[in-house]
Amino acid sequence: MTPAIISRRTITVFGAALATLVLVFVFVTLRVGGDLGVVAASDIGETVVVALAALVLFDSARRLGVGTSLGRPWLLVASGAASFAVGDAIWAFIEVGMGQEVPYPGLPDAFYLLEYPLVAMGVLSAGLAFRGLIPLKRPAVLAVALGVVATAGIYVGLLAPAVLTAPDVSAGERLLSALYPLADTWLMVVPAVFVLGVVSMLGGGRLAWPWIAVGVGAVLIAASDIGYSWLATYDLYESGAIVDYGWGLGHAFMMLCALIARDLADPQPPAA
Amino acid sequence: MQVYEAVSTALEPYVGVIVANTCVRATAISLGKTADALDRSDLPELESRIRGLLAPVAAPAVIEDAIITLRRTIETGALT
Repeated sequence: MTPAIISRRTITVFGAALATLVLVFVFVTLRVGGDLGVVAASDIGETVVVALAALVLFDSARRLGVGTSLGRPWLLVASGAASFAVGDAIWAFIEVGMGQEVPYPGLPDAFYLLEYPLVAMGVLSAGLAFRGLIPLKRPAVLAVALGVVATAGIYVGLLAPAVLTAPDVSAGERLLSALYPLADTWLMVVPAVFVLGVVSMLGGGRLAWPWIAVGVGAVLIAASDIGYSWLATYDLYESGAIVDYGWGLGHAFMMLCALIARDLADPQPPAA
Repeated sequence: MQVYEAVSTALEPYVGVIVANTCVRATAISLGKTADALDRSDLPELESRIRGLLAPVAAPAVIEDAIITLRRTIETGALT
């Protein structure tokens, strides 16, 4: 990615998201404001980053044309990020505003789960748009094969020894803790691997750039979800845990890909 | 430089070498030619084909940029 293509706007907005996450990390590490400060920094910081990502994604979709094959994937990914941001805002309201523990399963989970099908549809539709240029069968087979292997790994490494057998866990919590990693695998990682397989055939061509960032974002979000499921199952999760950064960072990367897509479509003055 | 090389040069920054060459070969076949038999008279068909292939994945400004690069390469590239 050359500086001549990536605009100052992209560097500034992505940098602001990263700076926010670094600030959260500093607040949490130094325990600024005690326990409440840690929880507030973690919850509010993540909400701000994900909401910023949703706004940027919506704006990119609008500029690229929401009714076109170019803008539609971004509209779907933006809707998913917005849903996640609403879930985060509710989580922060309960935990910081009301001073209560967030129920699990709870209302935020409904919004978190809604992100999966929206992102999956967005990413898959982006990959399918390349069908006139690239044969899609091989990346599709590769993605599904990876999904099967990952599902087996999640069952052996997480579901069987922890989620499905942990004592004193409600059926709803057990179901949700199983659903998150499986949804991550099939609705986040598999579509991302598919689109990465598609754009890898572009050999570094500019049209591939945005979707490489999507892949990174999807993997980070999936890793956080799987980590959260494990921690929640053993009642070890606390706001400010390392898994929290994956959600913010993953959405920041999805925002980055939308910014790059805009840069490609609407050249701006180059960065210094 | 031949016409097929000029087309590949114009497309390569966006879709990479392999896909660019595939586009050129596919267009040549649709015209009943081989890639190295393409000449200036095939340019309108080549441009149309490029627009059609890139339209689902690239913004209009990107497609125009590729077409302008192609025309510029052909004008200044001393075609053989």
